Amino acid sequence: MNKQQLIIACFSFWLALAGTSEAQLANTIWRGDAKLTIPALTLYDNNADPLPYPKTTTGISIIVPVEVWFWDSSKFLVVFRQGEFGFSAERAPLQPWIGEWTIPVAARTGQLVNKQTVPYGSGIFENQTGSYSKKGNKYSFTARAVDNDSDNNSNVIYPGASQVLTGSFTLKNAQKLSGTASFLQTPNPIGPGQISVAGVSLASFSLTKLPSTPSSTGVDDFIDP
Amino acid sequence: MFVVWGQVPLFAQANFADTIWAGTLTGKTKEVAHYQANAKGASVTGATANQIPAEIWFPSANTFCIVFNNRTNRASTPDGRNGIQVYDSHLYDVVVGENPCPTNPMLTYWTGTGTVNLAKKKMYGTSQTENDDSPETPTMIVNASYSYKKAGSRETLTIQGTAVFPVQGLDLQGDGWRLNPGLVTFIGTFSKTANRVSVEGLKQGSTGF
Repeated sequence: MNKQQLIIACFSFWLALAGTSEAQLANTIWRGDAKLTIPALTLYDNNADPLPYPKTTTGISIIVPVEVWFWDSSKFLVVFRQGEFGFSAERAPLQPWIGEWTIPVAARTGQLVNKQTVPYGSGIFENQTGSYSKKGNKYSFTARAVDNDSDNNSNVIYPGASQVLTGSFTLKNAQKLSGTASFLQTPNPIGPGQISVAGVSLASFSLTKLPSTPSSTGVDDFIDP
Repeated sequence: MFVVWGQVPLFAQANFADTIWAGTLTGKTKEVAHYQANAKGASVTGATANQIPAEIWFPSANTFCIVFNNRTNRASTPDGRNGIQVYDSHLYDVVVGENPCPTNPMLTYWTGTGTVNLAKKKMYGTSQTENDDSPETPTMIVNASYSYKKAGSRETLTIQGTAVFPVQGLDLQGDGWRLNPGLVTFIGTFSKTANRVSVEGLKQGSTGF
């Protein structure tokens, strides 16, 4: 093996390793809690005037039950386990929150066999994407929701409004996932009657791998009963 | 001379009878938790609700109640604020304390009590209605201390204390939200208004109860 072949072999081996580690997450579902720290919340009315009921709510920490669906080796979706958070049983147990809205072909099963995008959830945004990648031992991710639609949602969201979730996480023994994230809305509030968050909301999360996968379960749990 | 100096302002006493005071309350919770099938689940911890508009009404010199004025705290009109329907057709809601006007037919359901101890500067109030599942048990008990100041024509009242919720029910399936523990600590500052309980208490509907 000459030097050039050795370099190619090493590079191929490195690529294979990298591919393997990301493939660990492809088509998997992880469940756990996210601890959110929100500096302050303010309610706004349709004219973007603050509603003094109360004027602000501060010092909030919330444990939010979540799932993260890794559709494949680069796309993911954050799902809110609303059924466990106290929402009505008449609503779906899971609500897609932010991330990749396109359902991979393999997960288009059950009632949504022909559905290409995630139904329900934060559907007020026109474009929703979520991607992740690995560098060293750490994964980084960005989920973005953007509204380019200036007509349909003008009563609930301002044209051009967006929200972005960024963060990083590490894997332990391929079974435990933990990391941190920050969440930012622009503008703030993102629309009339919405809630304004002062500053950046931070989250830490710890998740464990579920035996189920997006392709085996499909997304029926995203639909109201 | 000594008597006059003693009365103003160091030993000024509030004349509470038939007065209405407007201001804001700040309430702090330790934990608001969700229960499912009686098992504790998600929770919100450490939340403080700041500057909630409220009014303190004194039907007499030693009775009080806390009233939400929907015009100031939720809407600019009964139909809503800037297009959002945010409350029903009443302007006032009693939250805790003495019935401000038992002769008002819209208030006959209210059986709460609110007493002011002028000597100790303490307030004690309950929330009760004849429509409660257990009308004999208050849904809220308020214990507070107050301080009164008068500077020129401006009179202010600062109160702080706790609101205890003795019974926090979950639904038949054991689902619902509860405060842990079942209390809110609060502090608030109020200024005396020109309104009178004897006038406002009689009103009904969009301008009253």
